[in-house]
Amino acid sequence: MRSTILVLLLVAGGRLFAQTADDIINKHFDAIGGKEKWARVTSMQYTGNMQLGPGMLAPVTEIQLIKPFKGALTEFSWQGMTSKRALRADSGWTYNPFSGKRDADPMSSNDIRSEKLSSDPQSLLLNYKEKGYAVEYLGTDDMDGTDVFKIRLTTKDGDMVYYYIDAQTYYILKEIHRIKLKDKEEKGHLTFSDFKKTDFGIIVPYSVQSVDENGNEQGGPINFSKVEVNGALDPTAFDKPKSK
Amino acid sequence: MVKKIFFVVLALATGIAGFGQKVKAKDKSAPDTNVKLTSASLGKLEARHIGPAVTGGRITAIDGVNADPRILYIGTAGGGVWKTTNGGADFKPLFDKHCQSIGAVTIDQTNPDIVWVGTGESNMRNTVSIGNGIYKTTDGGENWVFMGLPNSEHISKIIISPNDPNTVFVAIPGKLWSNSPDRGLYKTTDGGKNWEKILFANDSTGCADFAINPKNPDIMYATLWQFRRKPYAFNSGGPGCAVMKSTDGGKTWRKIQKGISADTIGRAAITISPSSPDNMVAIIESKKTSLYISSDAGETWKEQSADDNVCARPFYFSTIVVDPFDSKRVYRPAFEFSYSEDGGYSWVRSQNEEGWLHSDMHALWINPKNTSQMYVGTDGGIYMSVDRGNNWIYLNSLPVAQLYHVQVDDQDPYYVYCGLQDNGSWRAPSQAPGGIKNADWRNVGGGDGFWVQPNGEDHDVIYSEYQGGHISRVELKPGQEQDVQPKPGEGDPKFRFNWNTPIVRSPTSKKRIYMGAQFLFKSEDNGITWAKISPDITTNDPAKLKQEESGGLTNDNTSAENHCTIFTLAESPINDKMIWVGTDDGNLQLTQDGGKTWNNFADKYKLCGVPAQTWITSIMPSRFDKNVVYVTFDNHTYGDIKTYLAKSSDMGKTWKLISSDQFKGYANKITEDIVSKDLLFLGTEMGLYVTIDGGNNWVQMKGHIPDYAMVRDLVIEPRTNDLVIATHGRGVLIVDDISPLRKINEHLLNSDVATISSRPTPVSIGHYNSDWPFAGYTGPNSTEEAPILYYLKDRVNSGNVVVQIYDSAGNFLVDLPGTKRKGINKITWNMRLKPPHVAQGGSKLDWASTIGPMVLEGKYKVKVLVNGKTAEGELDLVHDDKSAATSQQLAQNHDAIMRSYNMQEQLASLMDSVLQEEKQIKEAIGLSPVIKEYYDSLEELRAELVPVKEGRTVIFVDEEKMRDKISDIYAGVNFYQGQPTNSQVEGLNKLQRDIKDADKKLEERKKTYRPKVNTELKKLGKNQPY
Repeated sequence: MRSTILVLLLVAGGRLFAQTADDIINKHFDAIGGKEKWARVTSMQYTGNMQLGPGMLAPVTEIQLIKPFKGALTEFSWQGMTSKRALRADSGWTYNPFSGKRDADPMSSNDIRSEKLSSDPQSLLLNYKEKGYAVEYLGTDDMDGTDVFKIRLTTKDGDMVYYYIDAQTYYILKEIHRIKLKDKEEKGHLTFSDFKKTDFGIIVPYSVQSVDENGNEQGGPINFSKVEVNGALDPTAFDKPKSK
Repeated sequence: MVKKIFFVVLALATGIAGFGQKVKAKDKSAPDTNVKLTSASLGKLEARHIGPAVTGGRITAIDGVNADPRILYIGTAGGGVWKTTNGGADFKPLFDKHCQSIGAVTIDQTNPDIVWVGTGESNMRNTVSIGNGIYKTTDGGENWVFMGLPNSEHISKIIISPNDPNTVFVAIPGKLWSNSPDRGLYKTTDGGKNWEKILFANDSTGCADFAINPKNPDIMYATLWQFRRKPYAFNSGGPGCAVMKSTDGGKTWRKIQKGISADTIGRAAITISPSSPDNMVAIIESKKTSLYISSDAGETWKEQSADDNVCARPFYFSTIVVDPFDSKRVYRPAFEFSYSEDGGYSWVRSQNEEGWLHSDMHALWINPKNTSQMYVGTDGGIYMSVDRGNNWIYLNSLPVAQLYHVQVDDQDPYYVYCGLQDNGSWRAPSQAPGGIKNADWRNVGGGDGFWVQPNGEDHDVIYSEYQGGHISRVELKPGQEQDVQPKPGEGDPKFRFNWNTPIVRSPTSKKRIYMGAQFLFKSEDNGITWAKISPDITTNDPAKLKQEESGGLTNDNTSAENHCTIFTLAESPINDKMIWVGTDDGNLQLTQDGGKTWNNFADKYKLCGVPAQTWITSIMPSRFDKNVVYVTFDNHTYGDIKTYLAKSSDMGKTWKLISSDQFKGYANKITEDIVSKDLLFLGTEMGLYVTIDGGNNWVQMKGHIPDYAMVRDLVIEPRTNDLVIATHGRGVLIVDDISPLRKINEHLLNSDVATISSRPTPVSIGHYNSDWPFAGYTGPNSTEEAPILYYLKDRVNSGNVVVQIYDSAGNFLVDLPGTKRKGINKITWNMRLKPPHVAQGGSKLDWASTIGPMVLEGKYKVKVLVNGKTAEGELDLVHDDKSAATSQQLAQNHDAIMRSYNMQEQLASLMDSVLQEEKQIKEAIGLSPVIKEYYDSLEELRAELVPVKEGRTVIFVDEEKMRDKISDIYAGVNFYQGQPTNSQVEGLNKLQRDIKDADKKLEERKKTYRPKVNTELKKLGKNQPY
């Protein structure tokens, strides 16, 4: 398969590379339900568990609401307590009760910038030009033995997301988020699997795994049992909790 | 889409608990027979890099981002390109899919995410490797694109035009070992798509140095260098050499040597003062190498009386740098570090107070925002100065050591022994508390290190050497060493020892060692007595024995060019009278009678296609068949970089060339597995390869091994089955437990899912978990958890992989999330069960109870479930021989663990009852004083069981309640394998009583208050909860 891809690329020549990036993105959306359907996505709610160790499951949920962007909220529960992180249009807060604290803290500007890259329920790639992003095709690569296309998306701030798109299924198998902050650069690597069709008709990964730069799993995966598209969401969920 | 959730949760989850397992193959799937072994099949059989970084490897290029000097790119001789974003606190490798020999690194300062890398260093020593062209990144090193010049082999400098970032000049000395037209000065004006050769002399003369006037880029300078290496000699200098100048951007050139006294020159280093570009400094090799300065843009030169350091070894030290703003301040990193404050008229050497700066320097970068700060690249790594080069700090987090050879001993954990280019000989344990740190490495020899052999009987006795066969027996306990090099006796000629002289232990006798000059020597008594057991078995060709004349203009005889010597040898593991010897001039000799008679097979192996005179780099007599032998040949010193590996099955009479389209790079080492005769490993200058079918098909091993790793030596440690890899630029790599490779076959490769057994795991909490967190590079340990290996024919994109553990009776214990990659997957089980359910309703997390109890030794069953298919295997958890605990003590401990575990669950159940009771009346508290009284009494009880204070901003525990007390003992016994203390046992007894009392309290309060609450609510016309 890989050699076939390489031959095709050689035949196509360098002048088609920019076009190929769009081709790949188009085929990616074709494979996961089509752009039209994805454009109708206004909110997503993921519900599932993160496996923390042998037999240890911690419930997690994430909701993302856009059009216009209203917010994103992540909850993680353990031993009867629930931590939260919420992103609003221009602000955010975190709430971590695990050491006894009962007040929410403001999210740093660095975290806001980082989380915004991860909070678009439609994916940054959908209508990326309108959203102000640039995209470049970087060629093929071998991701743990699977042939992938590599696409790089760059924001106006210079942040980058690398997409590893399966050359056969056109699913995104891996993303690398590279946030270029003032004092440092942050990177996060995630892999995706267990692709399934939602009731809405789009295909999303029901399993997410964090890996390090060398591809080693960091902790266990998050497996979702339910992904709800455009469901009824409580807009107050993004409000900062009041101090006790 | 889904991403944020993971980043958020991860920080909480990391480090809490491990996963893991291990298995035996039982495939139930119906295989097809299409899948062959590929690199991807090897999956998670990955290497770990244990260092060393206690000393470095050769640094060949440094460039920093002028606008953000915390960001630097480091080019190395054999370890690729590394990047630091914090001024050198740590470094990350960026170039692992490409050639590891780096000649030049240049950042586009107008867009610092664009970086050019020229492969193939140009410090033309005997052991220099080769490159394969030039590369560019546009995203700070995340991705690299090949930009051409594939036949350059060595690139010395890349300069981007100050006026146009798409105009780039590349100085190419070119091939070292042969003529080539692919050398000179090259230019691109379209960012590397097309290249034009703008300066060329002849096929043996390349461009060594290049400089551009930063204020007028049409003015440029280049030095042409005629040079050539042969296996036995080096020549620097000749009629092709010149100092050249162009004033039209490289269209036309003229020689500028007015004032340079020598007619014939060699390698010339040249530099411009950035702040005053007409001022230049050059070091010109000649019979009397000198430093010259020019104040008229090179039109005339004036010789200075520089000292020997400034002028030393011009073929090897070609760096001279002028301060960005002070044209009088000139730096000359060479054998030592010199600087001038008067434009080159006089020189002083760095002070290095209370410290050391490794000799032999090749790169210098000065921070333009603070010119007191600079970085120098040496043969021993990278150093930083904050006082203009006067004193230096070694940056000990860059693991780019250049090994020649590696060995292991039989300790547990085994020690790794290695000799490093220009950095002595070292040993370190393969496992150490907190990982293998710089401090775990112990120096066991100086000079350039090559072969190091542990004594077979005494772990504190080691044989090491420095260049030219200077072997010592190092005795660590008394802290002394004895020179045990064989010396010529009466009637002997001068002994010729290779730069990299073999010291080889016998596989059949712990006392026996061999070493080779032109003769083979054997010692049966630790090097005290040597017997010469061969005649001169090299070609002894007089034409190749003129090393004292080597060097060209600058005589340079360091033993690096010693030739007609024994380079490798091996005693047969099944017949100690059979000894194979390979020489650097192509002789392949065998004795079958312990050295009395010798047969040379040089004329035989040639018939299979290996060129004559080829350097024989390794010999592997099979341990399974005395007639079988494998040999690697390296012909790159005659300009031929093909991979030569040959096999004889009739003791050398006939040979078969083993080839593969996977191979790249000249061959350095062949190793046969110690169990499977068909499992072979080949190390070349550009990668590590494996075959599981005796050499018919090969694949490259890429798991955390750079694609172009310079693999110089390989050894398999027999107890662990670890493959220990010596790289010439990436230190020591270890692939833990290669035994799964013995089990890969066509049936397995064609199974959708199959388990693979690996070595038994001692039940332990881990012996090397933690240590004080020292600064500097720390190599990872091998896992001490139980590995579970399984094979997946394809990546699993649909559904999840679940790994279930059962006890030997078939009772389900725990499940673990399986990874989903194609090929061999490897997860680990920490040998713990599901953690206890802990009491909720507290104000903070109970961390100790996130860990399950350890299981006992025994056989366990494993099931890997993938989309309706199941593969079953076994895990063998064995007694930990490192532990002094008896079975009885372990049973006592297990009992304490399970008692505390059960108490946690009892407390959780009690707490659930309290919370449930509270929930029933919480809304009614305000309706009646009795209800409030009951609620308060329940809260009082809750506060006895769990921490309840809220609103804290401190991270330390300040409440100790029943749950904390149980957890304290639970953690204490659960993180120890041995007898519990009496306090722990008595503490559990007391806590058991406390739980009982608390339970009683709840029941009493229920009995007292429930009727009252019901009555009160009934009076109010409300529902009665009880």
